[in-house]
Amino acid sequence: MSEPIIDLQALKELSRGNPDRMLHYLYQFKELIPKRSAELRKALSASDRINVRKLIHSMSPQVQFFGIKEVVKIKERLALGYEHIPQEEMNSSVNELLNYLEKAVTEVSKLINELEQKKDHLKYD
Amino acid sequence: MIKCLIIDDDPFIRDLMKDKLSYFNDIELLGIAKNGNEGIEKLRALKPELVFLDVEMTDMTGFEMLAQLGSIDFQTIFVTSYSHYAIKAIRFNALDYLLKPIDLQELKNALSRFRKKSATTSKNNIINALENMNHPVNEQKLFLKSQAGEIAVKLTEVILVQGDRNYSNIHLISGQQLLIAKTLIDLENLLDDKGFYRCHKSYLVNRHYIDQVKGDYIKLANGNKIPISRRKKTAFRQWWERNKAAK
Repeated sequence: MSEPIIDLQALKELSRGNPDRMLHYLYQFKELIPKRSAELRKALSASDRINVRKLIHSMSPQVQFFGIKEVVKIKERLALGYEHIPQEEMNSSVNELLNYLEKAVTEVSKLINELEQKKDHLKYD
Repeated sequence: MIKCLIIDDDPFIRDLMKDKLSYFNDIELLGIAKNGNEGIEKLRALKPELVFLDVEMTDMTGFEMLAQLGSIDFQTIFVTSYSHYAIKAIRFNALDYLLKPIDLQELKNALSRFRKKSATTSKNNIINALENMNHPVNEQKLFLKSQAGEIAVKLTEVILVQGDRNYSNIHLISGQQLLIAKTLIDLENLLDDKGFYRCHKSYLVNRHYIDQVKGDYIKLANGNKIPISRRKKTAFRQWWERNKAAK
């Protein structure tokens, strides 16, 4: 099994063990990231670098909060070269970033199921 | 209690900020606005003392929102993702800011600065920032804390900055010198895109006052000769070639 790409440390600290609060942020990730990823795909296929930058920028706080280091690295690399890197390199970097985000959303969905189940157990125990 | 308002277009940051503020007993969150327009409405209706303001929102920037207000009777802590340009503008105007996602310790430090800072200083800094944004670089003012208190210095009046360990001495064209508690590196970071160049480990010069560049020194308009360090000689020459026409 591959290593998880999200790190829940910040989420655990913030929610102070409250599963509802944890779930709130997880659901929010699951809702916002795919939406913004879809917009990012659109901007990329239109070679709209300004929007690509803006969208990656807008996802950045959540990505950092969930400790997705690989995406942070790509984001930083792109930040240095939005204006001049060749389109091909831009495409491959953004696609790599989108793949990681997709994996992160899958992990988050799994976590949501686990947490919801735990909550149900507590309810009926 | 500190009465606060959050203005941010990112739902994640709004929730995160709300949760992080709940760690502090002396904070009363009056409301949350989802964009600049809603921010203006809530500012007028709720009259907060402190506003956490997103720098880049979809309908307007935080600065554009502030410019639309008739008067500013609150302090502002800007909230931004890392963006070199935005942070530079915030620092240049001596404004306070937090980076997204908000770090609890940084928030604690910002709140402690808020408690110490006078409302008048904060208001003046905002007014200065808004004025600076409407002026070309050479007409902008730099807000500094000197021994004489808070002062606004026009960039056109600064001829040279001389570093002295943790302090810097700002030489004005009038001959006056201002000692401030900022390192030369801090000032270089604020001024390197505003016509200033660090030609030596101890000197930052304003291109407008460079009269002559000779071998390993610069002659300034007030007659002072400033050394160019050997290491920076080539880079300085290149910068000067690019900038002397704009002098």
